[in-house]
Amino acid sequence: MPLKKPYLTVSKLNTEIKNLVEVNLSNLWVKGEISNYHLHPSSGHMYFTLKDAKGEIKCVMFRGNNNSIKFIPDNGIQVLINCSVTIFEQRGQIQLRVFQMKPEGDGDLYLAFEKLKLKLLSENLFEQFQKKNIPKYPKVIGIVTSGTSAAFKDVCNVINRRAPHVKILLRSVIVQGNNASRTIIEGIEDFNRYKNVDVIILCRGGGSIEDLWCFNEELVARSIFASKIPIVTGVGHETDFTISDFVSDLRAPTPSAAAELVVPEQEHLLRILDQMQEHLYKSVKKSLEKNMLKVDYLDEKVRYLQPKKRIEAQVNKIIELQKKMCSQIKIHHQNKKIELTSVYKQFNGLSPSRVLDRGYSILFSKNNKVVRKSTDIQMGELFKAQTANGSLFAKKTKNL
Amino acid sequence: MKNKKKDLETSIAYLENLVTKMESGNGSLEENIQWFDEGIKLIEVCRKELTDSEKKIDELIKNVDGSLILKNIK
Repeated sequence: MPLKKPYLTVSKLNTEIKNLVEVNLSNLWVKGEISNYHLHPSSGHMYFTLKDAKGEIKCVMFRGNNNSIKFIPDNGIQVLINCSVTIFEQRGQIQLRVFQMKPEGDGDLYLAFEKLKLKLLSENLFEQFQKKNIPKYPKVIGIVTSGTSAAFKDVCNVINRRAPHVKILLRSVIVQGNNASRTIIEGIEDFNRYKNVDVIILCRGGGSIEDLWCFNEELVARSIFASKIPIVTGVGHETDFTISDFVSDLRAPTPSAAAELVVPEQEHLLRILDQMQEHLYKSVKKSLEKNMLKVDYLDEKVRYLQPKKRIEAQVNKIIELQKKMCSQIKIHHQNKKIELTSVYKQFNGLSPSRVLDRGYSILFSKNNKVVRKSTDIQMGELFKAQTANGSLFAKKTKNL
Repeated sequence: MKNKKKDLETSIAYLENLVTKMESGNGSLEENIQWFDEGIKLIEVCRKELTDSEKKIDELIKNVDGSLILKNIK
């Protein structure tokens, strides 16, 4: 009778291997490069191969574990994984079940940061034209941060000091650790649902790159981008730049600076109002003066144009003409008078009496005719001799 | 724009527009006086808004059913 050799069934063997391997090869850190990366769309599990120059091994990272990864895994990235070796008994396949994954090599998180930055950049999420305008004079400011943090106190102090009229609305979130990104996204979404907020400040005080990591997560960046309300970020210190800063509508170096950028000083606003008031007064005064000048001008014109004035002017003209005429007549009259006197003088010179004055006499015959020759009178005839101051009778006695 | 509550930004833009219209000198006297009255009233409303407000800090809290409520925290 042939000896019956002891044997194992395949499944039994696989179970044996599984027990052996899983007990001894658990909670390991393994370093390698990702290839054949595949994120199952509906389950959210990640499948990939981890390899180095001489070997490779299949890996799975279930959804429950992979949602804490702080970067986007992809082919070619060097990673350090925390895992256990498992055997898939049905197929006798060996694979690593991954619990944690960190980027390895050049600047670990930095690499993830740069990769996401490039990805969002290529989608134009950082472009200036995508940025929403920050309202100049907000009335209500939503703050997404931890309600117990110093950052929140700083922001409140700045707003209260600069603009006591501005209302502050806090949406308290977790700003560090695994749940941070989820609550930050909720906070942004809640403000968008609530709507009555003019601008959101998303902020957190300083910390290590790991502390600030939630602000470098893709989903947070996308929820900032999707917000209908403008978002100003103030994360960490001056030197900290996060993906959230790139995608937000305005980046401030710190939480306090974010508050300063968002609220204008009350004094400044009051000054603007004073200036406006001054402009209004000046303008209305100018307008009144201009109209008064116009009225004055028209008044003068109307006065000038009224009939009384015109009649007066014409009467004056007539009087003037009358005067001119009178004086002309007077001059004419005088001229004539002078002329007359000289004629009179001339005429007077020719008068017979003027001749008599010089000692001459005129002789008249008895029939009263002027005697022009001695023969006009007969011998012994009486005749009259007229002198300058009287007449006498004489008798012709002799011819000479 | 009348009788409608404007936010500060709209108000200031509106005031700037009034001043520009008045300074252009194109409006009639009646218009100028009307703009002036309107402007002065609006400035008073803005001043009041800036100085009368009582400081308030609220927290936006999400209930289990997702509804949002405000709670005063100071």
